[in-house]
This record gives sequence, C-alpha cells and structure tokens, in this order.
Amino acid sequence: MRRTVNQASRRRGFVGWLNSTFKHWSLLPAVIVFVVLSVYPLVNLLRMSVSTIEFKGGNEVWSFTPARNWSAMLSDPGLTPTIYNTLLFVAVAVTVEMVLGLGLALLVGSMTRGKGLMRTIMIVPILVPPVAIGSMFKLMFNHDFGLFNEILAAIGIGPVSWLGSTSLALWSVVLVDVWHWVPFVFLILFAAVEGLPREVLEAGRVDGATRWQLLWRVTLPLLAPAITVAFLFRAILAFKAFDEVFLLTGGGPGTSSELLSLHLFKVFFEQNQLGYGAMLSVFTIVGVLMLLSLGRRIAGAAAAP
Amino acid sequence: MAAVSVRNVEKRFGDVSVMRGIDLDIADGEFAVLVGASGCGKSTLLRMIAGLESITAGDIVIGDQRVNDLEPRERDIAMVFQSYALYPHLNVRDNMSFSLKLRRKAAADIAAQVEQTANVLNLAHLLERFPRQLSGGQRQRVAMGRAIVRHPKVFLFDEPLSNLDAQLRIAMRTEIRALHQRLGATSIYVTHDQVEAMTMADRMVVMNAGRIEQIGAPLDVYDVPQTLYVARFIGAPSINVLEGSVEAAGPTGVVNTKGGARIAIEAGVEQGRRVSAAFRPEHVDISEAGTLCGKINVVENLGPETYVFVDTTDGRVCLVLDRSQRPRPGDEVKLAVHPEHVHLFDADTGLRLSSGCAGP
Repeated sequence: MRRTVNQASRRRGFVGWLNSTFKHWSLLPAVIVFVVLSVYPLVNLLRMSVSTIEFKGGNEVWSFTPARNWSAMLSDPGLTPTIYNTLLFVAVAVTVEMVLGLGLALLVGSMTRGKGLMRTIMIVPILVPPVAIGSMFKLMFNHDFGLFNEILAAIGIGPVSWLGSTSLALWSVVLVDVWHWVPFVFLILFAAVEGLPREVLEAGRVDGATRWQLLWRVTLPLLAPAITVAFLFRAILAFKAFDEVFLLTGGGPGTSSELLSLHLFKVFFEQNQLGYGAMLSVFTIVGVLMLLSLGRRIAGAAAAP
Repeated sequence: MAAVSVRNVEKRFGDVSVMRGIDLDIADGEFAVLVGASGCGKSTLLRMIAGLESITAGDIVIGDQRVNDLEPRERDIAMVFQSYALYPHLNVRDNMSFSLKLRRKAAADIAAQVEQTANVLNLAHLLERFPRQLSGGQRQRVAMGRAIVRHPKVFLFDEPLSNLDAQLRIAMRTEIRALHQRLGATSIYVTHDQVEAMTMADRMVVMNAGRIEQIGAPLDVYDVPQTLYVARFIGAPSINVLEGSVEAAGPTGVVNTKGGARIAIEAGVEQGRRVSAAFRPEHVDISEAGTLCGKINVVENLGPETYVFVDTTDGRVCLVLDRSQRPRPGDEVKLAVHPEHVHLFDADTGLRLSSGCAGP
C-alpha cells in the first residue's frame, strides 16, 4: 500500500514536473532557431565592433581594439556627408511617400468603382525586384536617350544629368524610392480608409464639418494608428535603403548620394575594415531602435489620447 | 424648430427605382415615426432628409427652405445613429461640443451648453471619459446629448435603440419620449420595431417596399389599417387573417372561409368578392356559438393576459384572453369573431374594403 502510494507520488512528481514544464520545453526549437539566427550574429557583430580582424596566413586574427575602431569612425571623412545624406533622404522620401500615399488612399477610398483595379495596379511596383527597378530607372535617367530627358527635350528643356550631377543625384534616388514605396504606404492606409466607420464620418457632416474640417478633425485622427505604422515601416526601411542607390549612382558623384548602408558596404567590402564596419552597424541599429521607440511613443499617444 | 415636407420624392440607384411618390408632411414639433420591415426604404428616406443621400426627383423642405441641394451641415439638423457614431478619439465633452466648436461659438457658451445638456441626460460625471469607456446605454445618451446640445431645427433618429438590450430599450424609449415632450422639437424617428412606433409616435408612417402604406396616429393605424400589410405589420401578436369570399351583400354579411367557417361581418361588400378577413387577437373569443373550430396548440401566459394559439382549418389563429380563463393545449374549441371588428381587404390588392371604424 505504502509502496504504491510512494510510486504514485514519485511518478506524479516526474510526470507532473514534465507536464508543468512541457510548455517551456516546447519553446526550445524556436529558442534554438532564434539564438542561431538572431542572437549569435548580433553578439558576433558586437564582438567584431570592438575588434580588428586581420587575415594572416589563411587565418583570422582577432585583436581587441575598441579605441582604434572608434577613432577610425571619428576620422572617416565619408561618414558625415553620409549621415547627412541619409537623414535628408529619409526625411524627404518618407514625407513625400506618406503624403502621396495618404492622398491616394483617400482619393481611391472615395471612388465608387475601380477600387480593386487601383489596388492591383499599386501592387506592381512592390512586386518588381529592386535590381529590375534599378536597371529600369537607370535607362530612364540616361543622359543621352533616357525617357526623362526625352520628355524634357520635347518641351524644350536641355538634357539634365540626373545621376551625374552632385546636386541632382540624391534627388533622383529619392524619386525612385518614392515610386517604389508610395504603393506600400497606399496599401496600408487604403485598408484603414476602407475600415473607417461610415456613420462617424456622417455624424461629422451632420454636425457641421466641411470636407476640410472632417479630414483634419475626424478622418486623420481615426487613421492615426495606421499612419504611424506606415510611417514607422517606411522610416526604418528608408534608413537601410541600399539597392536603389547602389544600382543607380553607386553613391556618387563623389559622396553626393552615398547613404549609410552603401557606406557600410564600402567599409566592409572595399576597405576591408571589418571592425570599424561592425561598429558603424551597431550605431545604425541603435539609431533605428531609437527611431522605433520614438514612433511607438507617438503611436501610443495617438491610440490613447 | 421647423416643419418638414417631403414632396413627391423619388430615389433611384442607377436604373432601379427604390422609392417613388413619397409625400409626407411633418408638423412643427411633431414626433413622427417611420416604421417598416428592413429594406422598406425608411432609413433611406431619413438619410435623404438629412442630406446624406441624394434625391432623384421631388423636393424636401425644412422650415420654409428647399434643402435639396444643401449639404447636411447647411440643413441645421441633428442625427442620432444606430451605432451611436461617437468620435472615438474625443471624450464625451469634446464629442458634445464638436458641432458648437465648428460653429465658432464662444468657449464659455459652449461649456455652459454642454454642462446643461449633460445634466439633463445624467452625463455630468462622464464628461472626461472616452466612448470606449462607456456602456451601450451611456453611449446612446452621449449621442443624444450631441444632438440636443445645439438646438437644431429637426432631430433625426436612425434606429437609435436597436443595439441596446431589451430592458434598456424600454427605458430609453420612455426617456426619449419625455425629452421630446420637454424640448418640443420636430423629430423623425426610424425603427423596424412596431412597438416602439406605437408607443413613441405622435404620428406614424408605415412604409413598405419604397412606398408609404399609411400615415396616422398610432391608434388610428391600429384600429383602421388601410392595407393588409399595415394590418399584419402593426400589432403584437399579429392580426389573424382568413381567406374567403363574401356571401350575403347588404348592410351585413358573411365571409365563407376557405376552411369552411362562416364569419359574420358588419360591412357591406358585394356578393362573391374574394377577401382577406382580418381580426385582432383581442377580438375573438372561445364560445359555443363560434363557427371557427380548432384545437389549442400553444398557450403562452404573460401574467396579465394569455395568448392562445389555435390550429383551425383556416390556419393558426391567435387570441388574447384574460387570466381568469385557463385553456389547455389539446382542447377542442369553437371561436367566435366579433363581427364589428372584422377588417376586410381585397384578396388581390390588399386594400381595405370595409370603411367602418373598427375601434376597440
């Protein structure tokens, strides 16, 4: 009798332990994947950022040199224009994309027919591979036979060096980015516009709001959460923009259109400064994280006024 | 405050005419209820008066102004929606002062008006809350407050109580009615609930399939329905309808029903005419002298009265008895219909044939 009780309690002990902890164990595969794919590379990046890595006799040689990487960053002549370009690029491209995307979403939302067609058309730029976009626009920007200069010639304006002029190169990249990403903003905001409560807008009209007042006082506050999400996505992705500028200008002429990601690419793969590049990457991540938390605070404020 | 006139209004969606020949005059200070089954056009008519829906032809006049081409905001109306339609990003105070702010009233006036309205509606303690923090009944009250606060010419209500539970609905019904008696503002109220229509209306407008079937004071409509549709729609439990043909003409006569019963009538209708004979559940009794035979199927005790459903050869007939009678399911009974309360309708058109008053 006593033995069976003991056995039962012991079994209940083990089985109970397994039962109560199984939910944690079942997370293990996901944890392993997370550690291997996310944590390890990040830790490795942090380690790299305080090291110098040299290749001697077919071996990697790591040395701990945080100060050297730091001073490499401070003395990098390309860094300041790159940061300036990136901030300018993000501010202008994202603002234009948000305004155009929102305007289009409101416009298409008010259409009585053809909404589905518009949505389909707008998905196309997102479907095109970035490399194809780069090649396509490079042809259209071409000084001698590109579409843009043909159009300008038709209205009697001389050819413009879209990608070859220091004052225009960055803005040409912005133009492509806008073409590429307005549809993304549109799709997010269009879904939100379609979900607007009709009766609330009607209540606003009955209450005496003009179209403009309705937009500012009712529609935009109701869209605020979606606008924040679209803005956050765009801001983060714009900070990391690489393919367009790499394919169109290569950052040039000079550093006039060089963005942070492209600069990182050059530091890593052209200058082979792995440690300094890693440190720059870490700072980029920190910068984007700060932006993210700022955005979340704004979103929180908008959702719970 | 102002009277509202709807004159020969038509509404088309593309080629489909959903409403035509709508004529309706609502007097200054009147509480009019548009009632009908869903899809009958009552909400569309209300939205046309509000200006949220365009009209294809005809005129809508509020006060002495033709408002066909005016925006909703230019019509000086207030509307209470079924979903309440409160501004979710504004608290109760801002919801209520929204329209006043748009009209650029002085801040002190706005505050005073909102406070006063909030007191009337018992909302004073909720002014700083957001709509999502309120119960359904409270939201309903805020929606009312938002409408009342600016003293519009006309109040429009679009099924405002449909989303409330039964008890609250009855309480709010009384409250809205009391509020109307106090403010005396012209009100147009849409509902599919005929009990709401009966209890709240000064005059009710029964609609069906894009047309007005009948306009009148609730009891007049109940006592003298002009069409079979109105007779069936108004009244709970529903009116009993037997199909048959008229036998004897003259001042009185008999309806021979399809099931073989003979129902005496008082109205004179020509011999042989096919009719629908309708009588309310309170106008039929269990009596040995009855000609309509059947078997009791269901008995529903409501307390003060009892509904009895009898299966006859002419279909199911409902009667209302007082609680002193104790019928039992399964009993064979004979039913006697009060001849003076039989409404006759043309079997094909559904239009009223007997003209006499069929009061209680």
